[in-house]
Amino acid sequence: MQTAIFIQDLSKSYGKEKHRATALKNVSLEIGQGELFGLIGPDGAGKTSLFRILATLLTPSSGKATVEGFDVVKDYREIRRRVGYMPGRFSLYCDLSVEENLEFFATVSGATVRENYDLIADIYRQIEPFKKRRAGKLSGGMKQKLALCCALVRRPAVLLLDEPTTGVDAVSRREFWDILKNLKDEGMCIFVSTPYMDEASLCDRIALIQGGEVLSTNTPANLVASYPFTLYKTRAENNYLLLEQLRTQSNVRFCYISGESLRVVFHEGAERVIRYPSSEAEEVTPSIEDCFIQLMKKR
Amino acid sequence: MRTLGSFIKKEFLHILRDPLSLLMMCLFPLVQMAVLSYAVSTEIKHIPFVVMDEAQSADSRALVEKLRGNAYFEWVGEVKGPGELEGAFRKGLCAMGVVFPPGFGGEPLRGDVLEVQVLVDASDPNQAAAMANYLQAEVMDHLRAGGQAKEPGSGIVTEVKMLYNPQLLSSFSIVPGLQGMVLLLICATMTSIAVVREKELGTMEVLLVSPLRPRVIIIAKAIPYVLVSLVDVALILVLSNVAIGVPIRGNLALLLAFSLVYIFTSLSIGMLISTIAETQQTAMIAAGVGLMLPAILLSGLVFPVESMPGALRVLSHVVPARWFIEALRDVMIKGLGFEAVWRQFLILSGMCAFFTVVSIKKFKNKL
Repeated sequence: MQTAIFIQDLSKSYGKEKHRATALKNVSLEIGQGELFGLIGPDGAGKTSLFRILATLLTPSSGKATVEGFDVVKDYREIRRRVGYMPGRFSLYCDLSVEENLEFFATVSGATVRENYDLIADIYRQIEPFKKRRAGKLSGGMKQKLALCCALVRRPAVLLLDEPTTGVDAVSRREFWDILKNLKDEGMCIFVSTPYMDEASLCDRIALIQGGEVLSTNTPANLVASYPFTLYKTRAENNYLLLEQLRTQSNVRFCYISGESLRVVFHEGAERVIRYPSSEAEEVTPSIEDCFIQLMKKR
Repeated sequence: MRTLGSFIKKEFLHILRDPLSLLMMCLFPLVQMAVLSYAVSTEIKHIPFVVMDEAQSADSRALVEKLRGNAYFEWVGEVKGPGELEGAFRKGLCAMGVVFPPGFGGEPLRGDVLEVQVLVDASDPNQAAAMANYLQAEVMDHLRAGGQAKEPGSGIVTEVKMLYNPQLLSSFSIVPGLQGMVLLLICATMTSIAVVREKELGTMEVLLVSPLRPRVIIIAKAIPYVLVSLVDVALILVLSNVAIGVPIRGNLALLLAFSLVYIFTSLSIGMLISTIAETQQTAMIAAGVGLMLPAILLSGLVFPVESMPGALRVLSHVVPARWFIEALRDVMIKGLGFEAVWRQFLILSGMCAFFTVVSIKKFKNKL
């Protein structure tokens, strides 16, 4: 597999000495052509900084990054020709119609909608009934589809999508990921970030990022398989009281609330019981979120 | 080329889809011109005056009648004695008092001097001087008509002829000045906002990640506003000619060519502001306040450039409005041709080129 994005020891900090804030610390990644790669992490983990560096909008403080073999600092113009970038914030013209937006972004990148229609056809068909509508009046999911069309219409070699599904309803999110899967099959490299852990399993490979550092890079399946403990799930009428109780139990290594239930890891060889009325421990396969929490604890 | 065309089309759509702003861009200069041309006017009308007539002669009465019929003066009443006269000033009833001494209007004896005393409220010196001048002119006029001016006036009489503006209407000097100021403000503000808005809305982020070059962005942003500004120029010229009564004596084509160069200069200044400003508010303040003060104070609009202190006079050379206003007065009011204003034309063109190049160079290619 040929490398599309190559990142080595990349760091980025903002501000002057006294108020320095570090957004990225020695990040290294390698993403191949035709790969759907996910960058998973909570808000403030440094995802947007990394995307902006790859989109040549920010210069890294140190380290090196290339996109399609071009350096993000030296050859920024070449990169701008070759990537499709979708920022986290909706960045199309709200006072232009769907059609006008698409037409405009096609022309400014030296392409036409007609010649690249095959690439966007599947997505554009969903918003075509509203092509005369102003972009600002579209629903959240529609906006994201239009933004993706505008990023795709130049037929980029690399697609950079910064949190494309944030603030989008569950159905539209699902649809969006289906679209990405299809695009990947066209041989495009897709680098996508998301704060939603459940979307991680839809990627070929993922990198977990927290506090500007990459915790782990792996396929979702391997990441789950490498979980070092046996994980149990339990629940009670009042999860908070149950959590309090578990924390006092000496056989519990650690526990935390995850959604509507609790996750418990017992000490090795310890008795796997919960001393709380009508609550039982049930073994579960860890999710990406469980892996993330475990990796964060390790730090 | 196709890129530029499509970009310009997009900019036009932005303008047309926001009719309120478009209306503002067209009305704002008109309102400003109309309001300011009356506000800044140094002419005086309806000066309230009182008369203390101790002569009670036919001559004094005739003169009072004449003053009462003049639009510049407004008759308040007659006062008896210096006490009442002072009282009228104190109460603010009048700004001028005319005193005819006893014996005024009788046959003057040889060697006698006819005297009319004029008291003027000089708390505003300019206005006072103007009032005194008007009155003197009226009195001289009256005496001349009565054949009495020959004797005191025997000797040398200077006769001043006011060229280009015989009625000394201040609007002749102020209207071109206001045009310079209003055009600068409207052009610079419009363009500076146009670029900064994209930064604020986040669309600049997507625009930058494309093969677009800064010069294409800057030129495409400016062109629609050139057209809007030309509409403004036309409106302003019609307003000043028809409503304010300022003549257009010179060549209209030359006038428009000058306006075009000036528009380009103003737009390029706006572009420069927008490449530096981060928010629309900053851009508005920079364009509004930062440009308005020099355009008013250093351009010759209010204070003549010739009478400025040395340092300010030097500074006025970099104020584009100064050159435009100079040229406009020459072409519009004096009716001079290109041979009189080529210097201003070159200077403005140079400024335009300079600001355009700097704003392309300073255009931030990153976030």
